[in-house]
Amino acid sequence: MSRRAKTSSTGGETINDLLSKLSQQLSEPAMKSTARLTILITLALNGKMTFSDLLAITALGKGSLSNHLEKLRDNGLIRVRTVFKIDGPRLLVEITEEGLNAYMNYSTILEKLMASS
Amino acid sequence: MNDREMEELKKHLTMVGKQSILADRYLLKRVWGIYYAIWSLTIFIYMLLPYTISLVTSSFTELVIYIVAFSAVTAIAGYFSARVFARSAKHAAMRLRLSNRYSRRFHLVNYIQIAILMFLVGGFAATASGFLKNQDGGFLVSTILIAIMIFVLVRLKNSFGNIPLEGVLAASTFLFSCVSSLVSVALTGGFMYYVFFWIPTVVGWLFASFYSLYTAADSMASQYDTEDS
Repeated sequence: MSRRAKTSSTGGETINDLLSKLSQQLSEPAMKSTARLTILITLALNGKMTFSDLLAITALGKGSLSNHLEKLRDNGLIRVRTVFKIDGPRLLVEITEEGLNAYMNYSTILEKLMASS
Repeated sequence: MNDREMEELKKHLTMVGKQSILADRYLLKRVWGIYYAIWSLTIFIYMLLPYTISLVTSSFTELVIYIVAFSAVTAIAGYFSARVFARSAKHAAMRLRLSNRYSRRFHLVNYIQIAILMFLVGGFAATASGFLKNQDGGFLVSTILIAIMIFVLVRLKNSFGNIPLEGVLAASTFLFSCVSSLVSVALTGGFMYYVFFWIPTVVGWLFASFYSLYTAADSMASQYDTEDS
């Protein structure tokens, strides 16, 4: 572990610890993909969103977005349910407590990385 | 993880954050669009309520219905406003994190602002209802309304980095209504024309709402270009 990672530690957890936790939560071992993190951040800011809004925000295809949502749901970060509106059924995606924790984790990593530069 | 890997990761995480924030502006534009629409409707109801109630009831019942109706309308609009402000505060916190200007004091400042706003709203209700006897009631009400508008402008700036066109339009019409209605009270000595000076605000905020909703997607695309360069 580098000196920077060690000195960036506050409250017992280093950036590496936090990153490893986040990569587990997002099922992103290399943390190179942007899609799941973007979905997580957007949902943390909005609480809940429809599938079509997420499509517009992420610019992903339907199949690809469904796959990402499935992984996030399997890790307990989001919950997906169908709601009925005047213009038909809608798929609603909501962030869970676990998802908010993952977002807080990302925020902390960001703060620490910024502070260490 | 070595320093180079750490630097790459930092760039990547920051880029994802910035992209998410820029995309989030699209949603924020829509949220603010609904906010303008709600207050346009609320101000319109404020204008109509005294006349409609006085047409159908006696004086005592009129007063009761008046208070209940105003409180209900204000509570509904206030609830949606609180949600918009909370939403913009979350967005602002994220923006500050990405620009390394975030501190724990952000939330404290946020709570203080909300406390000041609640105080202003309370002051407005007390003065406008006549509960707080004051010779310069009209002047005090207008001052409080302008202070509330400043709070809204701060929230708009937090949301978008600068105040968007529809925000400027909304603030301008609101300021015009505040000042002109106050001048009308001073000149006529009564509230005869007071309500008419709020028509520009209703129309202006309705237009701001449509504009915000209509240009939401466009603004996201153009913001991407400017922010990335």
